Amino acid sequence: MISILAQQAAQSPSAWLPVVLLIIIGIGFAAGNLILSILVGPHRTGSVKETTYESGMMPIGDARRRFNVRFYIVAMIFLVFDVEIVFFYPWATLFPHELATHTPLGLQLLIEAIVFVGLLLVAYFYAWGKGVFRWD
Amino acid sequence: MNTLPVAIGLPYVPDWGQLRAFAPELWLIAAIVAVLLTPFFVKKPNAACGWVALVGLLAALVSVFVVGVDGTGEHFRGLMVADPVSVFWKGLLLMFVIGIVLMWFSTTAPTMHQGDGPEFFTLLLGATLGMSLMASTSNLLMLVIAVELASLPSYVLAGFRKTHLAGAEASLKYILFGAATSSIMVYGLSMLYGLYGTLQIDGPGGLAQQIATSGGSALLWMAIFSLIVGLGFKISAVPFHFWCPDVFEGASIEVSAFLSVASKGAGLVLLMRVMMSFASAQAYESTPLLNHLAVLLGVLGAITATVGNTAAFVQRNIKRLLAYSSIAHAGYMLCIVSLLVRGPAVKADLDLASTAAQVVLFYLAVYLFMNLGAFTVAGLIERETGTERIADYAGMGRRSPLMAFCLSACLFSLVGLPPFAGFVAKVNVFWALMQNGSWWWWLVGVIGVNTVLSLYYYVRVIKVMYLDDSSSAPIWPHPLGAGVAVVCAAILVFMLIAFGPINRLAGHYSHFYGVDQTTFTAEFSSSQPPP
Repeated sequence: MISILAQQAAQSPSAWLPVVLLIIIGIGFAAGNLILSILVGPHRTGSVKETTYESGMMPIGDARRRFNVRFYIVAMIFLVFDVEIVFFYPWATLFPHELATHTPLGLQLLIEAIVFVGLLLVAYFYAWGKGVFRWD
Repeated sequence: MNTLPVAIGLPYVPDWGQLRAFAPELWLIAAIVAVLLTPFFVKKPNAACGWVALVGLLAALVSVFVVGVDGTGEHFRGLMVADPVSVFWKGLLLMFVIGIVLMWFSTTAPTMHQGDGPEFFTLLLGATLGMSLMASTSNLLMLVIAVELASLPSYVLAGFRKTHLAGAEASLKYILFGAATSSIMVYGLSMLYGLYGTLQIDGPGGLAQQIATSGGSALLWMAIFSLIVGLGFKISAVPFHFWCPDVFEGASIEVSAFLSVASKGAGLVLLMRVMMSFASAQAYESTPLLNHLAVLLGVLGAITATVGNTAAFVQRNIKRLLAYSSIAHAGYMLCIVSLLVRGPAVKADLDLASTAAQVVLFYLAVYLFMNLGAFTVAGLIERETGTERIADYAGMGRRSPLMAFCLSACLFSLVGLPPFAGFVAKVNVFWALMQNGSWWWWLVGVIGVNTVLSLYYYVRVIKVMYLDDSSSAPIWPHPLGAGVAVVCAAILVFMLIAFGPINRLAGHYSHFYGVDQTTFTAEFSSSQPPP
């Protein structure tokens, strides 16, 4: 593996320019942002400035603590609907057009959407059946 | 209202006829839905979900046979490809997963927490779906999705024994390693897209053709390395194999068995497809790019086989031993994949690329039954005695003659000894490597030495079972699992006897769509059944 790369480098050193540029840009972006914020940013400190959130609520305890597993499950259930919406945007732009021009394809699109929603509903009902939404 | 669709061009809506080629995948999806709905109708859903999954897998397998190679071609604008190789792999995979489900009934089913069944089978079928998609795509985007669909359920499956600490450790190692390698792979694929402006690997204007005309570049090599990192993780090729022993040890046994064949096989088929596209686009000429690729894959295979075999020496746990053995076998198959990028140019009368694909497919078919049998016996013994240590197998020849015999058959086959199909599979490997000659003779030597090395640790297990005796009581394995083990041993003998026809069948199915293989048109334009 190394030998192939070395051979490539020997044959055409200029071919490595993109790789070198990529590395420089990658490191430069990460380091540059940090350095810039140190250089440009104002340096005012104080007890209020050092709190986690400068404005809003006072933090209660450490962030590294166990959260109730329900929060994660609700987040996953949210994904079920989130994915649905991502799919529905292109679908909704095409469907009226198809319906207006040739009907067989419109019907096909409708059936496909119903199947898709049906699949996601199965996941939803499974979670419901598992008692995910019981909070007591 | 109608301006937007016009602005984004004509909508592409695939007609349903194209779905015919992917009937097995549709059955798998239907089975997943059915498994998820099962607990609504059954009080104790574990066993019921197993049966539902079994029925779904059987339906998928039947649909593989019914549809066959009819759907050969590109589908969904090149996102998916159906061809003889993918059909062959799907058939093998579905047969194997049916075996895994039967194995689950006889090993883990009684101890699994009631109510976990639906999730287990959803994950198992989901991973199977991903692995069958991996075999039928040559599009970078679909490649990533298929690999992730195969990986993500596998991570969860590895840690499915929630009360076992080793399972959690295995799952964590697996997911961290998998996340690192797949992010490297996706990064490399994004470089490929940036270089050539297409997601399609084969076909006119695809990556392979553009590479053939423009030649290699340093960035291209970075991208190819990244791709090999991602697929090497699935295959457990050596620098990326660290997850394999830990996961096999920590996961429950049917999950280990599943990963040992399905994950590696899917990765190999995908790697073969990509390599064949590259080689075919360059007309199998001896270009620097192809030569380097061949050396890279050959060296990777040789190192993988050697590391796997030497590490297996010191193992005291049967699952770890089988894990290292599976790494070694992946190495043998990688050596053959290195022949793919050499193509038919070496000998005028021999289509070496097709031959290499045929050898890998036959090897996979044999490897499937060897591993299924060995893991099934290990699982049955673990269930009865609660131990995975090889030393505790003492006296197994007396305590359970049938299990000891089946395990011996599978282990002899894994070495490559004559009364079993592992022998012809390995002879095939040697033969293909010798046909090509030149530096492939080194690979012949390496694999030869490795075979001798592997003899020691496989036979050590057999020695413990038959020569060491213990006063432990006889064990009576679960009849279903014993049946699976016996069938595997019988198939291994049968595949040796019927080597000719089965090898011809593998040859018949060793063709990639969109790849210029000399025998492709001759055999498949008429689409006749194999002789």
